[in-house]
Amino acid sequence: MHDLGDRLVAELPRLRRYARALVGHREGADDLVQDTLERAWQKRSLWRPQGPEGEIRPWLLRIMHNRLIDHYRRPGIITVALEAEHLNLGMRASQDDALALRDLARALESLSLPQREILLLVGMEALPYERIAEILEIPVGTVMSRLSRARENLRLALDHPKPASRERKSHAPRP
Amino acid sequence: MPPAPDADAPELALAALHPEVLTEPIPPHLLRAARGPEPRRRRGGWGGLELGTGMGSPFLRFALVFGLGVGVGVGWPLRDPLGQASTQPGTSLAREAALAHVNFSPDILGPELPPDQPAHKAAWLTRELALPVPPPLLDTQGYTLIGARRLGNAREPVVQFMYHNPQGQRLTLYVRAAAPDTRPPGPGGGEFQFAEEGPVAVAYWTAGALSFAISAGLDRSGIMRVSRLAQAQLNKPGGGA
Repeated sequence: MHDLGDRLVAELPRLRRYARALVGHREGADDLVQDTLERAWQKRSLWRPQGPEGEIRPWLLRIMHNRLIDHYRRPGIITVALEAEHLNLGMRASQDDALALRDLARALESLSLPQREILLLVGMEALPYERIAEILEIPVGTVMSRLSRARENLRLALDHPKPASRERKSHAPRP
Repeated sequence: MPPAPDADAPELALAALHPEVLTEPIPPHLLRAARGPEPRRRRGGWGGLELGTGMGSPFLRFALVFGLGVGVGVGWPLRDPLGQASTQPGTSLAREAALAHVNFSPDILGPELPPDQPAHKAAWLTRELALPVPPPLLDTQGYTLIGARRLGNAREPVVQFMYHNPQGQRLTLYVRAAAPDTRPPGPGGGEFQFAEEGPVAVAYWTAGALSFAISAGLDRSGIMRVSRLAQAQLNKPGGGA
């Protein structure tokens, strides 16, 4: 009953949303999700289904993190920057909310991948620092210092929005 | 929901990003990737049972299967779309239904029919799935039946019907055996109940041995109108179409 396939199907909506926010566009996000799912099946012997409900997500996020690093280490990946018309802004969001969400997505997009990642793990996935340290394979102290820098940059980007550029080269994540 | 970034923790507003991804249909290639490589996982629903013989009428078959499953709990690993583990038995139907709504992907479509013959499609699905009640027709509220999906397993069959309107908004009806403690005394329909699971509103009720839940991205009055229409058809013996 608690087989891996059922658990992965149940995680799909959230995994797709996280990837969408992290990568910034739909196609890249779904490619990353597919890659993550295939990897999860390859490494299924490492999954411990007896963990508490929901514990599969940190495992998946860790796989996704590693897949993403592999992707970004390959040269020449182009990320298409978000354009206003590509942003699907929430069901029934009022116009003000929609604008605020667009500004937020743009501000996030302007940060480096490691900073986007830490902000989303804290803000969107609401994971404790210890879990995030395991996912990113860094010490808890580094989680906290990276989060603090990322917060500062997000605040700056929200206060001083830059016009979205059409295309930009992705930056390899700093170790 | 509107992000008003907290100066100390501006990342908290990120939880409001991309809510549509939680409720849109999942691309089929991702569902396949999630279900994993060969061998294909067993099919749930009524599939295995239909291989048997001598099971009598479709209604008897359905009732028998439901009878076996009653009281064993939910046969599907459940997460609500916002990630809290489902713990409250009273709201588990709404959560199951909302989760199934999020994973909207009809795999039993029925014949392609002209739009003025929705009842044929309902009748076809009723036969195909060996259902005790035909799916209700919601066309007067703008929602057209497009297909169905079997969930659950042979002991606890669940079926989900999918509808959409001309704007592409989708609505699902989730049907399963009523948990014993939610059965209203005697025949007839129970009270409507409502739940909201993230952006999905759910109206649910129990009639006889079956529980029904309608999920859609509607407000309460919208889902109420559709649910009244559905209930009127589902609660009468012989059903809707």
